Amino acid sequence: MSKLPSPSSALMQSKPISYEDGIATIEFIAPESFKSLRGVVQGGLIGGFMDEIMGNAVLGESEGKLLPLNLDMNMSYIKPVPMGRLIGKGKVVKIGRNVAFIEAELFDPEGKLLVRSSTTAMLTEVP
Amino acid sequence: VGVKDSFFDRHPAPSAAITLGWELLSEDSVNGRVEIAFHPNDTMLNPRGTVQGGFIAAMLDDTMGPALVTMTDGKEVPATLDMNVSFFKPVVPGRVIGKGWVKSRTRTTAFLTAELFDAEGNLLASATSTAKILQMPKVN
Repeated sequence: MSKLPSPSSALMQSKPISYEDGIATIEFIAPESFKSLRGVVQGGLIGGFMDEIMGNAVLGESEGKLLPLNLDMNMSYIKPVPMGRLIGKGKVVKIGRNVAFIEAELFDPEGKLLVRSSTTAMLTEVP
Repeated sequence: VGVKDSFFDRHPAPSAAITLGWELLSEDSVNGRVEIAFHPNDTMLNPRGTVQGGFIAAMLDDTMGPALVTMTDGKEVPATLDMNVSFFKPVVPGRVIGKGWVKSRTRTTAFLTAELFDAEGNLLASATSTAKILQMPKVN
């Protein structure tokens, strides 16, 4: 039995919007529990959104069959991420038999780019 | 090895730290090193039933940042420009230990690193980050 959506995606109120032309689009509401000392989303927790977006890109690309098991994740923090509604877009750059290279971007509701990420992941079957 | 009159004792923990179950174990303000325990829980799981990568990054982030904070007695705080995380082993709910330190710094930039271990001392994940150094904002 599939465990999708997972507890972590519920916490981020993830809402997959579409998978079109190789782009996964997903909405989030950053919860207050993610707030840092500076009043914006804590940098590591931003990784929660990026991970979710990249997972959705692999799900879309594999027609719901595969999920990434991340080996690494690199994030560039372009602007602080405010609490509240956010939009993520992700795509699979290259998918092999065992490994995928995935990228994601996070935007505010006005479409301003906040964060970019890339990851190298092993591919596993959806549990 | 606590610090007398530690910044972390004098200030309330931010929400993200509370979410992660942040608990200061030791700090070395001279060398910019900290050891912190975290308590990831069942709300942070991915479909595989292990802690989702972002929360692993969050624990590493909340280990690296305090390393700079302790070094400057809370006068400075890092604004992360980039962070690179390597995931070695799955992380499960329970107690995990973060060790973070300031590798190098200039007036404006800090290079930080952290490692995350399970209770048996197995290395689970590591991270490095480059951060802009900001003055600590006023905390309510």
